[in-house]
Amino acid sequence: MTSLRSRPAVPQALVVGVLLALFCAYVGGRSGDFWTAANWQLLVQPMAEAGLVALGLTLVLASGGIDLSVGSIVGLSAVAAAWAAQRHGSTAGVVGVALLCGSLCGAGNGVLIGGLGLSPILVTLGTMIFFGGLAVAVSAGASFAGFPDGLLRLSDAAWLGVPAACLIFLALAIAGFLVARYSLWGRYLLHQGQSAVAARFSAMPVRSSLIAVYTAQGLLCGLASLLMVARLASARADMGQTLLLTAIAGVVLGGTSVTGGVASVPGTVIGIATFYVVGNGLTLLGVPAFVQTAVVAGLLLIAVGLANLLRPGKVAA
Amino acid sequence: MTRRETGARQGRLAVLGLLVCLLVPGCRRLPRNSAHLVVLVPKLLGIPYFNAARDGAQRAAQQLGLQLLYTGPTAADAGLQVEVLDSLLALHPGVLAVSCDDPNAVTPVLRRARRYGIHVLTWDSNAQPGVAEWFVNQVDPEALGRHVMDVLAAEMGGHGKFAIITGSLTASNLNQWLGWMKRERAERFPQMELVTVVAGNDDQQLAFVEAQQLLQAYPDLGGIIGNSSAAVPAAARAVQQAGKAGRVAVTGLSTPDLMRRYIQDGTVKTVTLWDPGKLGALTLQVAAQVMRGETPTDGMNVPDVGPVQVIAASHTIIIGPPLDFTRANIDRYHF
Repeated sequence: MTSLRSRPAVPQALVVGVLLALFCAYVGGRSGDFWTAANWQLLVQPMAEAGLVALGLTLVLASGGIDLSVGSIVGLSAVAAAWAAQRHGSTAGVVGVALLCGSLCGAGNGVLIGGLGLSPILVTLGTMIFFGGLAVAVSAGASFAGFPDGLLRLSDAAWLGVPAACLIFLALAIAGFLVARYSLWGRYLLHQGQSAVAARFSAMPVRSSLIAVYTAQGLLCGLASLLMVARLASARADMGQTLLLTAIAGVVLGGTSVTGGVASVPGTVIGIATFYVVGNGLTLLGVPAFVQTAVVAGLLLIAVGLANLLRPGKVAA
Repeated sequence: MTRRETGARQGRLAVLGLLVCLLVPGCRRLPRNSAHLVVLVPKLLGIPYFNAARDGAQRAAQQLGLQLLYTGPTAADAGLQVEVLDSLLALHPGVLAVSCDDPNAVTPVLRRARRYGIHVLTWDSNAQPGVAEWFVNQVDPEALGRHVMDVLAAEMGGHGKFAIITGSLTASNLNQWLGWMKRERAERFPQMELVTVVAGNDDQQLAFVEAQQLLQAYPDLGGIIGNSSAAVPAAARAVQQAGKAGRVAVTGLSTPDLMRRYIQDGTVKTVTLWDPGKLGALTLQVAAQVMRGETPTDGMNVPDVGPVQVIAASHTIIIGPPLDFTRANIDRYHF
């Protein structure tokens, strides 16, 4: 029996979301500590940091690019914040310096990629090493702890029990969703990702939209570094190092295409949440850490495989 | 039935299968708020040093009748370690004992743990002073750094050029030892010249390449100190391959298992460390004491560890002097 109307595609984010909900139900059933406010308040803070980086990466990947330097920009912005804290001591100054540093790093990437038309993977591989090296050189590898109280209070601030970091992330996720779906800039980026040649010949402002997207990525990294500095009450050159792979994996898990042209901001939110919730749940269940990495990787493969299986028009062998 | 529908049905079956797999073992609930649970967190999992500490802690936990959970980050990264600690707080363990990757970064989460009423110890590498109730330390960093420098100076006759291969440039305890090595050289061995400090990032392969480059760049190099357990065997292998065994002295901080062949074939005469198994055991003993509300006393004799030094002012407990491994004693140690 066949029907003429083809079934709509099942978004990968939905598959991941269902798996995540099942996982939460399971962990909640086995550990009484999982569904507690304290657990979730702690869990969403590092998630928000990786989430901000992943939001930027969603747009960057959709434009057919990649930014490998995100972890190094986070580290360098944190070091810049420490530098400012050592001199001014004012919260606004520290915040400004970190955001400025992140944006400048991102703009540097953008000019090289959008302006000069160099390969994103090569440029950001270079700047990853450059920004990372600069951060280690400036900080001499030391960890700095003397941040102003105003900044540190950010990690305890909450509205209706939801930590400020999480609210910032959700607000920017909504903004990112609107940009990707409704703005002209979002259109340009998606078209650029689908076909760079067609975008160029259709007189789209390819250069400026690419410079803008890498600058936005840098700004988001600067913001992530501030949330991290507030949460850890310290800054260190290597503090963003683990964010790159988590953020890319979260974006891809959410259904954004690695080859460009497709962006799913809600998918990214679900994808990033998956990594942190699963990690937290498995720790509460006492699952050894090395098994955890395997479980998370397995989840990624299952989600991608299932979404592929449920896609109409795809024939499963 | 079309092939497309077959595919869709397979998909639905797969989802159903997963659901069953997930829910079937879900009946057994884990115990909550265990007052007898001690959580021991290393800087990273899966390296022999921390494995030896875990084994020592496990033996002590059995004797004391405590439940031990040993878990931590899979990479030496302060952010990852804090994420693991965040999750562990929800377990409400009786004692949380942490080897801190970055003393500043773990301080907020450890303070939070104490606010939640969890006893907090640090071991191996401390947080900021005053955060943990007790810091269980291997050896005094000053004694250790100075001792390693003395060993190298004795082997080099007190003069010549040497280099240091450290772990990561951001590890607080390594930097502390490094500082004391430099100070000992400046104060006692003015005729020795430290040509460079390079980072092997606790990676034996990387440290090996660094050591080869050192031997190339400084043909008159007289000695190498490895300031991380991976750096010393890497330096020994590079010296051996360059045919410079005996002419370039190699020493530093590493484990007997990693150094056994180089000590036995004479490439390395002395390597220094402490017994991490004792460190784990002592941490558990102190954990048991704080749960009983007792205060550790200086010179107290700890089972399997021996008499320990307790510095009440800095809330530090020290196992003892550094331990040198030489051809004479290395066969007695396995970690």
